[in-house]
Amino acid sequence: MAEPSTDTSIIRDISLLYELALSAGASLDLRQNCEVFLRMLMARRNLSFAGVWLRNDCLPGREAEGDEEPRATLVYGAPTFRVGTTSLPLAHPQFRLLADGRQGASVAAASDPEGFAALVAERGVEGGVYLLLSLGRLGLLKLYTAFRREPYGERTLHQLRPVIAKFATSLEGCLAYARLRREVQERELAERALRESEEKFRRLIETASDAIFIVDAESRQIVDVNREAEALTGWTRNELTSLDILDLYHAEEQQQLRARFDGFVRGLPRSLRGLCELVHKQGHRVPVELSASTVEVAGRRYALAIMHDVSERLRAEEQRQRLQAQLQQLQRMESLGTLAGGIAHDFNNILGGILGHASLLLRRLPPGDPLRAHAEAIQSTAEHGAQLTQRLLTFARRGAVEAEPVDLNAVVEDTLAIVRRTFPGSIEIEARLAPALPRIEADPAQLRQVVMNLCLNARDAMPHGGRLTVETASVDLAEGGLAGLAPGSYVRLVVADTGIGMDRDTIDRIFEPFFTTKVKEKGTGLGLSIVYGIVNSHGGLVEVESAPGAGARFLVYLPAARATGAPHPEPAAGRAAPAAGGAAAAASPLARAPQARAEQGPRQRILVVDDDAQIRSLLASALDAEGYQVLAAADGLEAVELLERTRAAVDLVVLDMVMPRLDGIATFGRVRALAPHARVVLSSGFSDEVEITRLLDQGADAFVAKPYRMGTLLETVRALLASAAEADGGRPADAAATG
Amino acid sequence: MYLPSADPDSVVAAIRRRAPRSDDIVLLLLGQQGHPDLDELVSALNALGVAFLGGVFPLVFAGEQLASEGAVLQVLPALGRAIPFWDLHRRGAQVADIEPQLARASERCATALLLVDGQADNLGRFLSALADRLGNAVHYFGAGAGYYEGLVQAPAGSGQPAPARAPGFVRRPCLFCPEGVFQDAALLALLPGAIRLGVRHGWRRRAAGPIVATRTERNRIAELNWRNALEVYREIVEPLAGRSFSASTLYEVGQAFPFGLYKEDVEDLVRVPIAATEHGELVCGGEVLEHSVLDVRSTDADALIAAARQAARAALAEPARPAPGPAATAPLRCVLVADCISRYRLLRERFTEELDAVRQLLGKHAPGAQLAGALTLGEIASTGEGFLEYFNQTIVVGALHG
Repeated sequence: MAEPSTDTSIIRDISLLYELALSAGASLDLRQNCEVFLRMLMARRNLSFAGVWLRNDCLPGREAEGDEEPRATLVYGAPTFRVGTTSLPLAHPQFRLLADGRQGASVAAASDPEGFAALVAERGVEGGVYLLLSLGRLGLLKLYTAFRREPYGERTLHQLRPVIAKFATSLEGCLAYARLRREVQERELAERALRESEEKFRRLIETASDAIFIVDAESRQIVDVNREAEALTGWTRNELTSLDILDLYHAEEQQQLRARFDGFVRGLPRSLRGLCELVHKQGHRVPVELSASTVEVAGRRYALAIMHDVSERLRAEEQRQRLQAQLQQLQRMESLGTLAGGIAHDFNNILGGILGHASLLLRRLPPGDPLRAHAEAIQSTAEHGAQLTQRLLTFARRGAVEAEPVDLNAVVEDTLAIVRRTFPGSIEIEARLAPALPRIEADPAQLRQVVMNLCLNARDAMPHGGRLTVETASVDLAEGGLAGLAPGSYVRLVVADTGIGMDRDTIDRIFEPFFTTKVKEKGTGLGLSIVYGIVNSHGGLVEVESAPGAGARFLVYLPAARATGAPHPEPAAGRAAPAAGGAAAAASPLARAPQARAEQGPRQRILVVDDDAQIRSLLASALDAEGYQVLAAADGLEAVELLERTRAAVDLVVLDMVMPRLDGIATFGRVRALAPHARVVLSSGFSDEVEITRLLDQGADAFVAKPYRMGTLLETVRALLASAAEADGGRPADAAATG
Repeated sequence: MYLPSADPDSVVAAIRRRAPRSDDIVLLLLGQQGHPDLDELVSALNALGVAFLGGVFPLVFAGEQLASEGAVLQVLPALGRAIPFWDLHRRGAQVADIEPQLARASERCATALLLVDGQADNLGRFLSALADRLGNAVHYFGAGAGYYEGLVQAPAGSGQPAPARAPGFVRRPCLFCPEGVFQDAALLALLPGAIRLGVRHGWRRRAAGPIVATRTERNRIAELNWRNALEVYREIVEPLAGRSFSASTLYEVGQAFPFGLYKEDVEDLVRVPIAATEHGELVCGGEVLEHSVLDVRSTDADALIAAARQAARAALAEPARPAPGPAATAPLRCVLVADCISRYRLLRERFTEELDAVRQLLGKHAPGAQLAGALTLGEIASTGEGFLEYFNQTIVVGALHG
């Protein structure tokens, strides 16, 4: 090619610089900027390779990498087939060549093969010339041509310097732009993450099962709430966010809460926990469990209050505590009942002995004997003791219940008739009886005792007068309504007074036998125990509500009869249901003993079975004195062995129900088998009413409750034997009949 | 070899006579006149079971023949089938699609033979991407195919009707290979044989300039000197040409006054304005970078013919840089020539002198070697070291060995 003229050469140089100058900074994208500029440079200079090496500490995102050895990265290389390594230490010769501030350097393979070889970092380079141009603090531009043998001269370097400087400046712009974009992207990512986080927490808050309040710590104004907070307070979100948090509390509590809140937001304490009461928009109080903490957002402090409606929980807790107290009361009363029953049983036996001996004494003392008065006093005192033990047995639910459908209202009215006549006029008496009250299965006499005892208790609680209210009602109890009561229909009797009331300790012991707050002369301490025992024996429950100075309410729950209004079946003729009662009552409805005296008394054989040696001996003596032939056994097993061994004909058996080894129930069955025609008198001061009734149904002839007067027993024996003789027409006793 | 008829039967018969090996590929250069339906030709060749690639050109030549019809057929050793790239306007730089094929062949490849649609938009980017991938391990030879109407006009007084439209380039499918017929595409055949290249154009006379291409988009110049490109070009060239021209007759003048772009150490690049859009944009036969400083070139027949001679000498006689590939020292198989159609139009009756220059050197340095080529809409040549350019107004002579 011919050399161009000087003018042409200058024009070419100017044109090339013009092209390059306009190509630099064509784009803010680093790669695009390099592409446009270097394509032009490569095309015009007929270059084989161009590479832009930038120091890592200038690259966005890599400034802080802190390489042990400072390095540079090839950020653009074209054509790509020549790209070899893309990362070099700044100690590499290509950087060292410009390290002393040189703006450019050119090395030709032909003239400086070693220097050239040291620069090679590209592929497919064999011969040619490198041209290195400084990009200032950023790095360098590395150019290579395979078409030259001589290095580029100073003129070319000087010619390119301003354009390359402009290119370097454009690269600074690209890097700044990339840094900015990176920051924007990071900010966008952070903002998106924040939005997502906010959305997540918003959802969490909105769907939380607790009410959440965000409160400005300075003004106490509610800033935000969730749906549950709206539900808890009855206020809408808009209404709530215009309120002071203290507005949600009762006016009486606001003063104290204000101080607590102020202390809390100052960090004392760091968090709040506890129970408090909100005032619902509709005015009622809502107990809540509060958990609060403070949080600082963008330099502003907020209180985060989480509230949980604990109405249900408190109700359940109260119910649980009430049921637990009732259960404990039941258990204690059960223990007391067992204790009282045991004592009463033993006392019955003792009193039976005393009464028996007193009876025998009176039989043998002639009329007018001065000792008779003592014997009668013994007998009277023992009977009084027997009444006391009978009450204890009632409390212990070991008395007999003669149940029949009873109209509680009628019982109340009967009792109140007496009460109105006998109570002081200072006591106002009111009856609120529910109409159409279901009947209850109960012993009416015992029920009357319940009503009367409660009224008497009320009277005694109102020494200066007051109001006695007796109410009846029909109630349905749900599951878990009252401890010890199954769900179902009940009749409730309430006896309330406006008297002195009771404290908790008194209430807890009010049904215990012999517990009384009255002066000694005014009570035995058994009235309410009897109420308790009777109600329990009827499958019911009695509760007390009282406070000192606030009167008392006794609530009696009794199961409603299933068929209300049905005619009550009369007891079968000749068969009396067992009933509790003292010795005086034992002879009448309990035994079907005829009143006629036995004609065949003497020589008829009677087996006495009782584990109490004194009673056994006393009874044997009395029967013997009446002319009967008496056999005695210390318990059921001995009685059975006696019957089997002797094959003795027995006309009547007096059988105690509570005995060791073989008890009365089992003995009865064996006696019936061995002596089917013998009359059987059951005797017990401490036996299950149900079992007594069952044995009577199975053929037992009479029941005499211990302690009994000997005369009562002898009359029963005599009457049974007489009736047997009438029925048999002189049929011999079992053993005689069978030979 | 030249086939007077390019009908499928004739082509198939000719290929059979050449008995290509399984690793050969058939190069077919069809004259644009009277060529058969390309789909039928592809079907016939596929039925024959040979690898092939081909294009349609305004004129083709082989040996002493120069014709607008018929076909030039050359059987070449190859590394597999031709690889098509289509939709270049959308996917010009997408050579990654054929990465596995390139990877298999590139290690033994010495020459990349390219046929491109000479009027495709994205040729510059495609060539850059291809060079990026294949690198300087191969030499490139290529030709731009396409149609040019009115190239051969009926002699005056022959009684034949005048052409219905002005002479010019026509965009039609002009490439074919076993995969079908393509437009806006490129076909690549990887050859194991080395090629020595000679590239010259002879456009050294600066007629006007400098002019700045102030706004460009690939091969379109929208503004020259910050004004409408067509207006500026007309203002400069009409006085030089001594005639006025319109957008439709642009190429008639433009082929004689192309743009020149400076390129250091080698012959400057030439860009021919081949058409103008309705907005006054100049469509060139290759990419023009924005802000390029151009000048307007002119030349004469002697300079063009001299350039052709220099190109032939470079390919056939000079001790050029050793070409890559194991067959670099193998005997010459053939000489491929891509000669720009503009040169034919400018040289007119002296065009034979250009070809004769090549033939003379061929006869001197490689007697018996075949000459095969075409008049092209653009030319490709590179030793791989520099930019892989798409030339205009250029003659590329490739001496293929092996």
